[in-house]
Amino acid sequence: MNESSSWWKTGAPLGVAFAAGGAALVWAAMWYAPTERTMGDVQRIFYMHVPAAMNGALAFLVAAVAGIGYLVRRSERWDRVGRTAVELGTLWATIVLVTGPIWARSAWGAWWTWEPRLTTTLIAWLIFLGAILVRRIAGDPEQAARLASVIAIIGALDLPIVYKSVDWWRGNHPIVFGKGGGGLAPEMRTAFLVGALAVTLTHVVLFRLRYRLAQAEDRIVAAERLADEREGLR
Amino acid sequence: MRAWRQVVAILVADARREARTGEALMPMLVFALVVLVVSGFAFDLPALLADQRRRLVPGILWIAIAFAMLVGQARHLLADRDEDRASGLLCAPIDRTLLFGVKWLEGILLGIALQVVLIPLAVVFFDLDLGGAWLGLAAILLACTAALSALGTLLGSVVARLGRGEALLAILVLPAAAPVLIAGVKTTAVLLAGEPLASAAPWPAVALGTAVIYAAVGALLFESVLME
Amino acid sequence: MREPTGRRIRRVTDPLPALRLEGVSRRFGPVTALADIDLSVATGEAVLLLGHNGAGKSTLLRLAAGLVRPTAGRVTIGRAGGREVPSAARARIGYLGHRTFLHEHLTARENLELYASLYGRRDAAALAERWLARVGLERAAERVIRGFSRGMMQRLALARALIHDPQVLLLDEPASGLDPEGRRRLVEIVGEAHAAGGTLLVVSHDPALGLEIARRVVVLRRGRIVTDDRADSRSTADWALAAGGVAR
Repeated sequence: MNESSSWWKTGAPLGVAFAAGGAALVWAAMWYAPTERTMGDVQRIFYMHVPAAMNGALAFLVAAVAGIGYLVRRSERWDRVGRTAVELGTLWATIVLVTGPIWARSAWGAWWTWEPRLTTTLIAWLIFLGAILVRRIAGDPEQAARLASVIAIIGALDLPIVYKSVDWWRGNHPIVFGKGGGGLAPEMRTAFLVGALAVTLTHVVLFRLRYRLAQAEDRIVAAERLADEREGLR
Repeated sequence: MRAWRQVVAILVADARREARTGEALMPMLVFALVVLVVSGFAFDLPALLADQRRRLVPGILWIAIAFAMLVGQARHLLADRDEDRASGLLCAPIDRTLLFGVKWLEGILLGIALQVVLIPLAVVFFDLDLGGAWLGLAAILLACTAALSALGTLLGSVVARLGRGEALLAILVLPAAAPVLIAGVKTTAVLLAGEPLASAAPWPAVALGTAVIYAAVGALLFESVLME
Repeated sequence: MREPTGRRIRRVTDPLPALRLEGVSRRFGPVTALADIDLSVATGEAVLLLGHNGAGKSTLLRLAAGLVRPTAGRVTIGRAGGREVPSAARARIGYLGHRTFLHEHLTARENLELYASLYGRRDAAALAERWLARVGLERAAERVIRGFSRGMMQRLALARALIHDPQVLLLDEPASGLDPEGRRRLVEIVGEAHAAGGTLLVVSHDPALGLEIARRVVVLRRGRIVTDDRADSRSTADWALAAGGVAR
């Protein structure tokens, strides 16, 4: 193994990129982007909020795909992907649920509204928290993987139904892009892209770290078992 | 022909067990009744006008039904853990999708048994006037119960495999069941206001749609929950 | 991890075995319960499965019964095979595991009728009657089994496992909890099923029981087959030692 590949293996390059991305996000959101006319500085939270929401949705999608993958293939690799994605999705959803109300308080005059995206994010957060809980309660790793996969699949399938239901029930989320959206100033667009890149990069770094942790967890379980066998305890 | 005999055999055995122990239905009924009574205090119902009461009653009714269903299905599915009877069913030459169908049906039957008692009690406690709404009410109750039972059967089997009860089941089912609860409450409110079922659109369709989708997902995933 | 060597691994290559596992592995997460098992049991053969606690005996039986899905490999019962045991093939199997699968709030008769019907038998009532007598529970037939002793439960579980007249019997510690009379009936019933052409795969801690019936012994260690030989190649005591493995 040569020098450069071992340096790569430490994850240091990703860490450096992560730090640079974080700095770029703060700079772009706080200084580069102009202050929004009606909402003022609070609007700057958007550069964190929206990328976090996008990455959360991505993580939950990955969790469901990994769930299907595990149930079909029963391979630990899919399980580790699922374990990682569910936890990261919950993390991003938490960030969305914290930043959203801060913005909403100033924009809509209320911390919380029962509009579809907010409500669906909350429900997603609860469902995937359930998946984490099931994993913790489960007795053996196989059962944990199987049952958590089922929850992740149901969760991902259920979310569009939840979204549509809440949309029919209530609705008023600002649409920034697409039809009905006000559009963005060019500097805002750039700042948003920087934010999206930085957050996605963070997602990749965290995913890699958590996945390796999952590998270590699995190795410990296998090693403990082997040690027991050698001691004649099994 | 064989499938029919298998389904009847499971239904008869579970009905006998339920008749002898009341282990699912009794806690369901008592729990739902307690929710009704506590709601009377919590929402100070006697102090409200009939019109204000009518706005609260659908929510109270659906909280009672949803939680009682969780209690009943958790008890019912947990019972199959005793002596590992769930494995006894898996050993037999029964299609696992059919097995989900039977447990789903049993959940619906428990729900109907609950509602047959609960709705008349609610009429008495909350001074409701169902008038001509009872047929529509029966329809929306059935559709929402089918949807809740599908989620309850699949996730209840997860919870039963973990040896846990209704607390974990509530955490898993209720967020996912949000569309069903919205549909149930909205439709019930429309019906109690004396309007026809059709004016509750799209909610009756949502109830029916979720019942179909959750049952299909449940049938697909059930084997994965049960099989090691 | 080195396996003891020098033991002959025999592979039966019967054209149509009653039960065949090909390259079967089962992992529970990072833990391997069965590793690359090749086992073929001929129709009418009686095999005793020995090994330590956690050697994979019970997993192997549950897998053959269709309760556990292999991570890799094929399971074949008669002609039907695949990644897991097909639904129709499960009708040919009678499985008796650690748990009885019985309903404690039903009577002994109701339990047997339920399982006869689950296996699609039309004559459930007559079968229940006959099996109650065979396991000596006719006097307790109408009692809810909640109050049964461990021995009575095991007798009823034996009847439950055999009521549909299976061709392949998978018995996991069938004598556990049985009184001497129950054990006598067990040996008699299993012997009759075997004499009628039934195939047996029996797990037992107690080689004496299995060796009354089995002609072939397979020893599992850490999820692998380490010995596969004729039952009369060793004494009962030697088999007990072979099963014990590290206990020298």
